[in-house]
Amino acid sequence: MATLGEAKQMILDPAIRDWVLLPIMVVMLLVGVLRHHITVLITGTPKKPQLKAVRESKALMRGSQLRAFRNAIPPHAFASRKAFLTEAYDQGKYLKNPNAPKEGVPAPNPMTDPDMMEGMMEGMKKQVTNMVPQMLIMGWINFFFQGFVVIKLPFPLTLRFKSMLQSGVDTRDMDVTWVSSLSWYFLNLFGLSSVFTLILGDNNGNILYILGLHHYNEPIY
Amino acid sequence: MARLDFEAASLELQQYRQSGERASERVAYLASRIIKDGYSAKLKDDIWPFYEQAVTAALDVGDFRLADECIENLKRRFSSSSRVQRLVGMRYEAEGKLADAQKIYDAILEEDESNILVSKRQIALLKLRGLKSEAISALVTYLDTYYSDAEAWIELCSLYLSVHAYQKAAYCLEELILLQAANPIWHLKYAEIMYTLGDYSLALKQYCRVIDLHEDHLRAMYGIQLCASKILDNGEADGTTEALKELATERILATEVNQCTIDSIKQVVREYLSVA
Repeated sequence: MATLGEAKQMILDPAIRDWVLLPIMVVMLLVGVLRHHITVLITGTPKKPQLKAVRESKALMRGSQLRAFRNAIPPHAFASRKAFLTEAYDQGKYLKNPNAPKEGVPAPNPMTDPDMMEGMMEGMKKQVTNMVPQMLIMGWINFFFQGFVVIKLPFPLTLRFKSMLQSGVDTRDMDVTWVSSLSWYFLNLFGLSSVFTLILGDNNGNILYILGLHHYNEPIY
Repeated sequence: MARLDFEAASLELQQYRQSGERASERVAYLASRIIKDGYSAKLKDDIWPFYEQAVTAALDVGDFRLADECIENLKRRFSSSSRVQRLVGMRYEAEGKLADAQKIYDAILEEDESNILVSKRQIALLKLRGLKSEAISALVTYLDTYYSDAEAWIELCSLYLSVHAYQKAAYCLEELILLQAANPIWHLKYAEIMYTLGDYSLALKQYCRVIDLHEDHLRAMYGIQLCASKILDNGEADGTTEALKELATERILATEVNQCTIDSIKQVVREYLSVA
């Protein structure tokens, strides 16, 4: 029996640990730190709110406040405020641009609005800095370490974890506790966020992005 | 001098930062101790809000050396920050160089017209110069944009009160009540202004509202007592007013007896209530 058990046992070359397992982790860690700094660099200062826009939103708030707490003030005070606000709203005194076209005219194309464009560009820039390094790392792993089994987990798992832990390795018989290189990459991708919090402090760019990228990767599993 | 308990001190400062309480003397003392005992490096990233807090407190207590030191440190780190510039402006203000401060504030607002804190400082400058009517009109413009700023409304209210414009002050308080309907202080102030204007029945109602929000509010109960007597004197009263007056008198006596330990004061209260 003992010989049978030993025959079934699979042994990993320590070189795999030194040249595949640890490098993937270190590279991902370093790329994460690098991306954090790049994100900080390319993120422009937050856009300052326009005075007129603030005024518009506060005026709307004033109306709703008056509606909600009308009982708290005497009737004459309420009446004068109501008259003032309805007139102001009717004439559009508090609007951001009072001369804007009224309802019925189709909304302008968002592409021509510089404000909108800027916001979209900001989002794009972030997306790109998130996507590009991940795609590169994934390509690197697929190219060099495709089909590698890199680590054995020290605890048993059910069969359902096979697709999660052994993506890129198509074997039916291998024990679920063995982890393939590509899966090791994904484990790192999602598992390193708390490490980043430790290194870079709260609110670093990585956590957000990991949450965002999650949706992208789901079909791969 | 005993060593400063750094942990406790930094926690206390943090609490002041969060609550916004302006305990300037305490903050300035703690800040100077932390800097002198060489704990500032231990604050890590908290050092910047700490410096900002220390500057304001130091200017309040007139410790220019501490303020300058903190401003220098902040300038070295944030060379082009409007937040630091504002502190420099406040430094000028504290020294009395109002024109210089004005220049700095104008420059910041040129960059960013939506800087609330600096807009407020400009109004404060007008007040400091004693230009009440200008300060009032600046505040009105400010509130036209930032309607929801309760602090600004109460400031405008007290400015109006200082020029005896009670109707306008009452308007400000109505706005405050709309903004924070559950705050008994606004109702109390409104009631007092209404009393000053001679609208006793409305004042009475507002005093009752204060009691509604804050049980056994002594000042409001005196108010009710006073308003009710005025209404009774004018002969416009109904049964409720009389009952209210009796109730207020009873509650004032009960509260005073509970709270006050000096017999002579109790005597005065009793005499006053029996006369009124």
